[in-house]
Amino acid sequence: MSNFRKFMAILLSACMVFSFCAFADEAEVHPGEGATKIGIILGGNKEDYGFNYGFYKMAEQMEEELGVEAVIKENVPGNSNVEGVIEELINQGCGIIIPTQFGYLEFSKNVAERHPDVAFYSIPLTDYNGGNFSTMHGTIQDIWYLEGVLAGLYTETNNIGFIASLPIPDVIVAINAFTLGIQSVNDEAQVNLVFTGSWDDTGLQTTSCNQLINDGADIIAPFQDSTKTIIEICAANGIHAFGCNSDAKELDPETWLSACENTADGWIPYMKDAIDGKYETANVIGSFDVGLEDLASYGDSVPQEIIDKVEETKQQINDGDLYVFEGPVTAQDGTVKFEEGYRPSFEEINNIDWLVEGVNGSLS
Amino acid sequence: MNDLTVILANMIAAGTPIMYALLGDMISQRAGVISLSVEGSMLVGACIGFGVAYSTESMILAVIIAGIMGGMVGLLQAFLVIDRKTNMMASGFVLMFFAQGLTAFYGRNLLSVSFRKTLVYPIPFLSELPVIGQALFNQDILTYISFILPVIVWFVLFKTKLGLLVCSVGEKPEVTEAYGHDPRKIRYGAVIMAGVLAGIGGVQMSCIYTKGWANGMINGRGFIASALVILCSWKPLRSYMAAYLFGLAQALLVFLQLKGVPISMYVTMMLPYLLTLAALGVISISKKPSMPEKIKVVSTGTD
Repeated sequence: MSNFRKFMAILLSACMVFSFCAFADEAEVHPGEGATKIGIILGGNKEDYGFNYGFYKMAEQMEEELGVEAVIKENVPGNSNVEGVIEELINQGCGIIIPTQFGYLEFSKNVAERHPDVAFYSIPLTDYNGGNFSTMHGTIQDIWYLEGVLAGLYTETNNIGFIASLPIPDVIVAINAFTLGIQSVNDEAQVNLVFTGSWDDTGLQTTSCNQLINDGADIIAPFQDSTKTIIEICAANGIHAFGCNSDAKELDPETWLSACENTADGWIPYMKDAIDGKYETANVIGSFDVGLEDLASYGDSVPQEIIDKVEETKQQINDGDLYVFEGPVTAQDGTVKFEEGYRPSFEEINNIDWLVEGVNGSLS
Repeated sequence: MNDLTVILANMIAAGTPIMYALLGDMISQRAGVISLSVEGSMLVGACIGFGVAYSTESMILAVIIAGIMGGMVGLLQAFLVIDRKTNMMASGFVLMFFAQGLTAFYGRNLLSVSFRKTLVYPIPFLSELPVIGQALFNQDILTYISFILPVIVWFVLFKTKLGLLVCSVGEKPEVTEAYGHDPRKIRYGAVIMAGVLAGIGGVQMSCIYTKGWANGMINGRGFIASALVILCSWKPLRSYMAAYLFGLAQALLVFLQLKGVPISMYVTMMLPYLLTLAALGVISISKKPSMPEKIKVVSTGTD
């Protein structure tokens, strides 16, 4: 027994010595330095042709430009299991971790505190930002505005359907920006809005699509996790559809119009710095101006003059001549929410809980 | 199409997969086993049926394979509940998760492919009828079958010897045994049949209704079907009402929003569940309960 006690005593003191060493090192740690692998944790899988599919494309670009290997973990639920997944990735040698879901926030922050030498790049806006925990938050109103311009010019029936999931800030911003984009080029077009109350119920997507099409819609814009069903139904009815959060043109280039897409351009410089040992906490919020979001490729049926007009609008936004949600913006009930010439801040846009005039639909 | 036709058409489209699973589980419950596993059967049927339809272009083959695979899940449920005496609710849930994992794994390659065959066969003359013509008689074969399926199930359950045996197993298996039939075999048959019908409901959903396979696309429809059996008080002909009630709620969810009717979408979303709950409450205190004796044992915990 005494041997065992001695052994335990030695073991414990060794542990303490090592942990002191760890503390001593911490001051000079450069998160992500010399990383050869980046770990990406996804809530779904590649074939959703949505958010997760987009990350596969981004991972390819990161591998190419940073010379690293991307390790991707799919279908990870947003609960404490994610800590284990991240630990495993770090064990495999990942120096940079990208937790993509809102549900991973708390747990990835916990792991980030345990591993100060690993750089974390998270997506949702959070107070956790700091130290080795950075945020890269793409804003979507500019891209949805551009999609609106495309839709407004493309529609022939002046009837555009929008299939939304739940009335949360991102979705409300997308609907409003999309409608403002349409109104900027087409006075007569109307947006018919349907909430399905779900992110991926293919049955409800089909029912919504069929009824919108029956009402005369010739374009459907979805804010859903998986958009394949919608593209299939639109293709079967000979109308056109946008995607959501990734470039899924390959599903049907004829039916496809475009989509909002996450891009890696904004991430790469920060990661490059981290790998070179010059990590600094980042809190990047923006769209194509900072390289986090962009318009996906145009569908085969979109004529060149519409593409030119959309690109021109994009340039105007980039130059600051055009600001989405610049007043006057009127809500459905006719009240002016943003006065003429007023440019609401990012927080104000994110707090919008009303729909702009011209949307046929309700948030309740 | 006018508004009524639109609602009818969407109601039938959304209600048809439910109809199959509902009648399947009703047969199973009549024999004394609640098959929550119809959810798993629907998933497997939807996934594998779509795969077969895509690779062979044959809808008939797809339906047959989907039925067989759905029946396999039913067989597992039957084995677990009847031979291994597991809790039928628990095994139903476990089989749902099992089917989810299985289809997510084997269905990966199907997520990006399409099956764009037109499977609608309008019935001459009838499809020209005003209002109901387009909604009822401009459908696919599986939907036409679902129109008469409740009658077939009703006939088999209540007008044939086989049906009598199935019902007797759910009420007093001792009697079945006394008449020289093996209750175990009949139960097996009923639970497998639930899986077969649910599998066909699944393939209808993936190949015809939503035109594609997506992970977890059944999304609780099997469980709803299972609960709607109670709403039908185990009477097959009432499944028209129950399945289309669910379909109607889905159709109205979209329709009311499009027409700007000031009813919250959350109310329409909970309508089928609310009605099922109400029906449960009424049936539980009714003087002439129609619940099979063996199911009563499960729900009250006495034997």
